[in-house]
Formats: sequence, structure tokens, C-alpha cells
Amino acid sequence: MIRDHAARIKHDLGKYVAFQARWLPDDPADDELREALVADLLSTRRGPDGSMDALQVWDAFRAPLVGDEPLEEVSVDLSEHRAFVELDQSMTALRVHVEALRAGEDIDLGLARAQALCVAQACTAFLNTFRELS
Amino acid sequence: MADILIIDDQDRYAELCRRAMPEHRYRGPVRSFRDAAEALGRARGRVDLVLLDVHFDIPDEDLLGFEPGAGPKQLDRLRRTQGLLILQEIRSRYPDLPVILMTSREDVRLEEEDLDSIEYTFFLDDDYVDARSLATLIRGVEDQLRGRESEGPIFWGRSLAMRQIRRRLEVLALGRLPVVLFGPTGTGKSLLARHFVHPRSGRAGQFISVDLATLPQELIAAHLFGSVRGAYTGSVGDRVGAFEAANGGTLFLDEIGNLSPEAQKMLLSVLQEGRVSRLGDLKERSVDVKLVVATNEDLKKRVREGSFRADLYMRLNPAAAVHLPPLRDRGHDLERLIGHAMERALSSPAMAGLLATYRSRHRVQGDAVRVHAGPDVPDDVPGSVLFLFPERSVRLLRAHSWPGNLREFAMTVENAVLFALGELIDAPRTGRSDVVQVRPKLVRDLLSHSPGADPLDEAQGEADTATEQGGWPVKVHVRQASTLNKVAQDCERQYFTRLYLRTRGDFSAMADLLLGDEEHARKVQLRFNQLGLKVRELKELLR
Ligand SMILES: Nc1ncnc2c1ncn2[C@@H]1O[C@H](COP(=O)(O)OP(=O)(O)O)[C@@H](O)[C@H]1O
Repeated sequence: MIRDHAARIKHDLGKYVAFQARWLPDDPADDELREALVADLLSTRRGPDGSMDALQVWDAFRAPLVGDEPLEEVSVDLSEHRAFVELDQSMTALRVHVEALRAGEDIDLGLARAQALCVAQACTAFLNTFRELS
Repeated sequence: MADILIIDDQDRYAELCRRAMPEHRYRGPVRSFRDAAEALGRARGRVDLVLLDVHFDIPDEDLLGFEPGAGPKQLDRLRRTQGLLILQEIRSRYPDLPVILMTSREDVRLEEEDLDSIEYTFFLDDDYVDARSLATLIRGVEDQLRGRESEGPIFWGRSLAMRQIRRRLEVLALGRLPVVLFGPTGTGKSLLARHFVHPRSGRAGQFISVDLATLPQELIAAHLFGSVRGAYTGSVGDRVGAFEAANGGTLFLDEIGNLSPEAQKMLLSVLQEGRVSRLGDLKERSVDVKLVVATNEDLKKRVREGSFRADLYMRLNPAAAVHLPPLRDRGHDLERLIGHAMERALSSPAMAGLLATYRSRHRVQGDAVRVHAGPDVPDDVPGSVLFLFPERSVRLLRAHSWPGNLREFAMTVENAVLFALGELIDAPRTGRSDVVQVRPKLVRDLLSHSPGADPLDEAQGEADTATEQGGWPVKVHVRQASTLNKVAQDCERQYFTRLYLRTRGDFSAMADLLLGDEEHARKVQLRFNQLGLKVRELKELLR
């Protein structure tokens, strides 16, 4: 149950939060990198019924992990769990970049990219912790 | 350059790939298995590689494995593993199509994948992919495929069947047991014995080849086992037999079915004892020979009929026999095989001279040669001459029945290249003088001399002009009937029969010829039924 949830997080958030940014060379042109980050962070999840930014995607996944909502009918609280805390913190650090991008402000693009990659890694680590569970 | 089909519910990978690796040709993204199957059918074996995503957010009814009434949980699972289901389905239809799954190996459990196909399934090294690692992976897959495609004079192609044959021969080459090669003429039995089995046997001795079909029966035994002066009428001096000559090496016996009962008995004894005595000589010499035999006959049937010794048959290791497929069964590899045959033809010294003349007449500097078969024309590369087998010429080769298999094929392509170059040496050239094209007319001329040529196609004249307009000429007998409809159906039955014979009953090939899509085999079959054509009866005609 948690494993399936973690797999979804990795797919929906981890894969797409740095999807385009990852493809760019190490020292991309500013406008290219900005364009990639806007796509990755502001339309992280694209579905038939519109898109969600990285924060919205995470909020939806997060709620059932800290007891705010049941996870498939069971209440789960991972708020003390190390892998969860790391993932949650990496998302908190990403928040400023997402909000600034949304507001069209200038941001440190390199830092934002590094932070997005960090979130992706935390998603993998989170899934790996629960991989053995069924 | 690779021809890549992207199967993904989103455009994102496709966009990134097109931008980051413009050197490849992309198809898609197609968003469901249904669309993928259609795209693969349309591509007719031209897709080199599939990039397959795993998670598919598509409407329920587009999901492979969807059943009405499925609950949200099941649907979620289907979506999250859709790529794996698609992979299985692709595997069952195209066991040898390379697929890169856009996920890491840990993320999927593939116990159910059998070993043969796993060879054609690739994973990302990392959970998340970036341009550099994907480009490296694709290049690796390409190299691996191309590297395996041919070895010196041997063309293996990409099909699973040929890979399995190669694997089996590799093992058999090293062992001590005899190797039996079954297959029609020209399928490479002697080529494989000489250039694959022998070099891989780790044996320092010679490769000796004996064609039992061309030796007079009464000389076979002396030829194989040797003889001493006066052993039989006409024998002058001592003679070393093939077994002794091949000692420490490999002896290849072609057309083993031609052994007389006497010679069969002697062969059996040599195999059992590891010793041979020349005819008329009492002395036995021990021989250590790797035996490879070939035949186009059904030896088991010959054993049943009593004309081939059962004990000898068993000694030949029939359980591990290798069956080489006729050329018409190697369909998807045909274009690549044309490339291989062109390259072989162009490497001969005779061609080098002609090519040099061509270059100097038409001022093409440099010394590179490239070959290409298929629909598009590659761009000019300075300094190289491009030998081109255009699509219409390829189609003619595809439709031919190739009774002489790869031998006939190699000769046809060699002639085609030679004549195409010859025709152009003195011709004034406009446009791209670096391109030497093998025109359909030339191919048709060459094929018309083959025993496999469709006799009805030789209704030249107007039929020939019809071909210039595309398609194949078929002669039909227009016969009177009570209604126009019946007349038309009668004609249609005739041409469907011709088509059946031409494709040797392969409905996919018929669908390919008629509709340009081999996935439509069912439609053709349906038409057969509507016309009242009985496949069982047609099969008899194929015999
Ligand atoms: N696998 C192959 N790859 C490339 N060419 C082949 C292959 N098999 C056969 N040929 C061509 O066909 C010719 C005849 O092959 P051969 O081995 O003599 O056939 P067989 O012994 O089965 O009658 C070869 O010289 C070669 O030109």
C-alpha cells in the first residue's frame, strides 16, 4: 500500500519534476533553462483535465502520509520517518523557486535546477525504503 | 541513424528526443498498444528500435488488458504497468524487435520474460533518463545490433530465429559431436561450415569439403577413405582420403543423402572407431575429425524408407540438427541483406576497377562507397559513391520466390550492382553523380532468368508498362459468365491464386503487397473466403 503510493510519487513527481531540466547540458543558456524549469515545476503533472504544479502534486500525495487523510482506508503517519522527512524538506526548499517562477520573478536558475534534481532523488530514496514491502 | 518508434502517452519524451538527438528518425508518439501495432505494421520491419514508456494515463478502453467493470484499483494498476503489458504483446509478435523500456531494471520485475527476448529488451541505467545517457544507450543498442548482423561473409540479420541458430552452432562447433545442417540449396550450409563452425572449433587442422552430389557413386568411398594402388579398377598409386586430409580439422560432407549403403557402413565404422583404413589396405590409421554434414533431404524419411542407415543417422546427432530457413522466411531482414550483399559485391577487385573508372569519368573524388536500400535517399557525403536500391526495386526482390535462396540472391544483387554501374559509366550524368541507382527495370530483367520467376509475369509487352505504373503484371483469362459480377469474380479468383502462390501462402505478405500493411492479413483472408477460394486446395498447389 505504502509502496504503491511511493511508486506513484516517484512516477508523478520524481520523474517529471526535473524532466526537461535533466536533459539540458551542464551549462545551459538561461532562457533554455528557464523554459525547462517552467515546464517541469509549473506543469509537473499533465493530464486530460489540466495540469498541476510540483507543489500541488506533492500536497496531494503528502496528506495521506501524515495522517491528514486515510491512505486506502488506513491511517498512516510517517511524519517522523527519515526518508519522508528528507523528501518533505526537499519540497519545502523547492517551494520558493516554484512560487517565484509562477510570479514571473527572476530566480537563481542553477539553484532551482539543483533543487528539483534533489527532489527527484528523494523520491527514489523514498520508494527504495518501501520497496521490500508488498 | 536509427528508425525509432516512441510509445508514450505524453509528448514529452518525443519532443526531447527530437531536439536532443535529431540524427534519428522518429515515429510517434503513439499512445496505446492498438496504435503501436498499427504503426509497426505500417513500418514493415523498418523500425530499428522502440522507446516504450511504462505508465500510461489514457482512457480506460484504450488500455491493453481493460475489461468492462474493472474497478478503480485495477485500472490504476493497468495504467501503471501498461508498458509491460505492451512489451509482452510486442514480444509475441516481434520477438526480435529491440525495445528500450523507459525505466530502470529494478522498477520492473520481468521473471515472465523468456531469455531469448530479454536479449532484445533494454533498460535505463538510472531511474530517470537524461539526453546523454539515452543517446549512449541508443548508440549501444545500434552497435550491438549492427555488430551482430553479419560476420565476414555471413549475414545473420536480426531475427531471433537466426540468433538461435548462431548460438546453437557456436556450441556445436566446440563439441566433439557431428553437426547436421538441414536446409534447401543456397541457404548457407557450406558457408557456415567453412566460415563459422570450422574457425570456432578450435581445431588447427584443415577444412576439407566434399560434395557427394558431384562425385560418381563408385568413387565416393575412395575419395573419403583413401585407397592403395590397385584397390579398384583404374586406381593408380596411393591416395589420401578426405578423412585423413581433414585430420585435426573439419570435414564437411555436402549432400550426405547421396552415400551408397556401402559407404554409409564405412562412414559409420569410422565414426565409431575413430580409425580409417584406405581401400585395399589393412592398416588402420586413427583420425580425429570434426564432421559437419549437410542435406536438403528429409533423412528421417529416408531412414523409414530404409535407404539411409538408422544407426548412422543416430550417430549424426540429429537431436541437435540445425535447420536453415529459406530466404523467403527472412522477410524483415531483406533490406539489410541487400545492403550486405551490395557491400560484398563492391569489395571485389573487379568492381574496384569499374568504380575507379566511374569516379574519374564523373569526377567523384575520394574512395568511400556507401550502400542503401529502401525508400529514402540519403544525403550526399563528399567523396563517396552511393549505391542505391530504391524502394520499387526492393519490392521486386521481396516478391520473388528465391528458389536458389541466398546464393541466387547474392548473385542477383552482385549482377544488379555491376550492371547499374556499367550502364552509368559512359552515360551523361545530370543531378547527383554520386548516386548509382539499381533501377527496377534492371532488377526485373535479372529476375526474369530465375527459375523462380513467375511465368505469368513474363507476359511482357503491355504487362511491362503496367509495372512501370507500379504493381505487378498478372495475366488473367477473362471468361464468359452469366453476369459481369461473375466475370469479375472469376478474374479476381485468378489473381488471388497467383498472389497466393507468389507469397507462398503468406497472408501478411499478401496484405503488405495489396494494402501496404501486413497487419491486414485478416482482410485478405476474408476476401479469399468471400471468393470461395479454399486455402487447403491452394496449399496443394504449393507442393
Ligand atoms: N548467411 C549468409 N550470408 C550471406 N550470404 C550467404 C549466406 N548463406 C548463403 N549465402 C550466399 O549463398 C552462397 C551459397 O551458399 P552455400 O553455403 O553454398 O549454400 P548451401 O551449401 O546451403 O547450398 C554463398 O556463397 C553466399 O554468397
